[in-house]
Amino acid sequence: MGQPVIQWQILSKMPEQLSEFYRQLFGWETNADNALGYRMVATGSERGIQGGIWPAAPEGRAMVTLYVEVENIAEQIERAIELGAQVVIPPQKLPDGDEMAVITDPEGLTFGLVKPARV
Amino acid sequence: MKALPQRSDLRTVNASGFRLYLQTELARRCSHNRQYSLRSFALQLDVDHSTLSQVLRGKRRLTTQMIEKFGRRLNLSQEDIEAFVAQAELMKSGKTVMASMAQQLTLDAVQLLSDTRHQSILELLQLEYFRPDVRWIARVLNTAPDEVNIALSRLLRLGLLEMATPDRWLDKSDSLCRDRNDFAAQVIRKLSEQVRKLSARSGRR
Repeated sequence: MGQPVIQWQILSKMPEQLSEFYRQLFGWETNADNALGYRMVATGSERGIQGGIWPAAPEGRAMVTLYVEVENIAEQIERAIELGAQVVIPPQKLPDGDEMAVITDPEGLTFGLVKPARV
Repeated sequence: MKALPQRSDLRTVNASGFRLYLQTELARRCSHNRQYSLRSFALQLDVDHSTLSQVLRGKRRLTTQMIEKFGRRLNLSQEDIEAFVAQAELMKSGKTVMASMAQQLTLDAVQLLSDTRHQSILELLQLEYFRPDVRWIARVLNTAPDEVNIALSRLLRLGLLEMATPDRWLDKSDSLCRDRNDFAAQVIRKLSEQVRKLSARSGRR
């Protein structure tokens, strides 16, 4: 099955404005009608991957993170550490059943690992 | 895939976990005793009051020796003292990611102590009719869903909240302690716990 990049996420201090910006620019539609109020972004195409926008704290900073789907988060974390990664957010289960973690590569670039509940 | 909690801040700011603890402890003592002052606290810590003032204002760096001495004078457990020392060491280390995470946790704790919405969310969890829905929480607290999500992210990072399942959110604080000062003490304890875990992970690197 490989280990594909399945989602991008924008962490933003102005999520509403960004939603509108990308809607006007690309026609991307945002839907936050879910229990976490998470802005799921649909690009309108079956090609490529979909994304989301999550609010950043005022004292925080904006960033974009790509999420790689894996079958076993814990095993991938261990492997990543062996290869020089560091754990930013340890594995955790989300309310929707997905599991995720965020790590940095040896250059310090941040990316996420996710195991969707359906896998 | 739905929401993915993130660290929200990697800036370098002068926020020491132990300084936060000292500030919180002084505020707690002052609220319990109107006569209590910075000088009283300095006497307790066996340090010059002007030095303590500089430390509390972030004008003077807290050394490992100061953390150990003050921690003992305040009857902190050796485990907690070591956690605060570990955080200080992480901040000084070249392990920038770990240092940033320690910094993030401290900033989270500062926000939890200054914004009562965090405590309010945990209180809502105790209600029989609580709904694990950000939109519902936002309506009850008269705030925006984004503000609730930012608060939830901080509570999750500090380990005060666990989203076990979509329908089951767990208050990981001591639900019997709803006094503001007790809550502050819990936040500091959770900060200490999380930093200890961080330090342990860092040590394995």
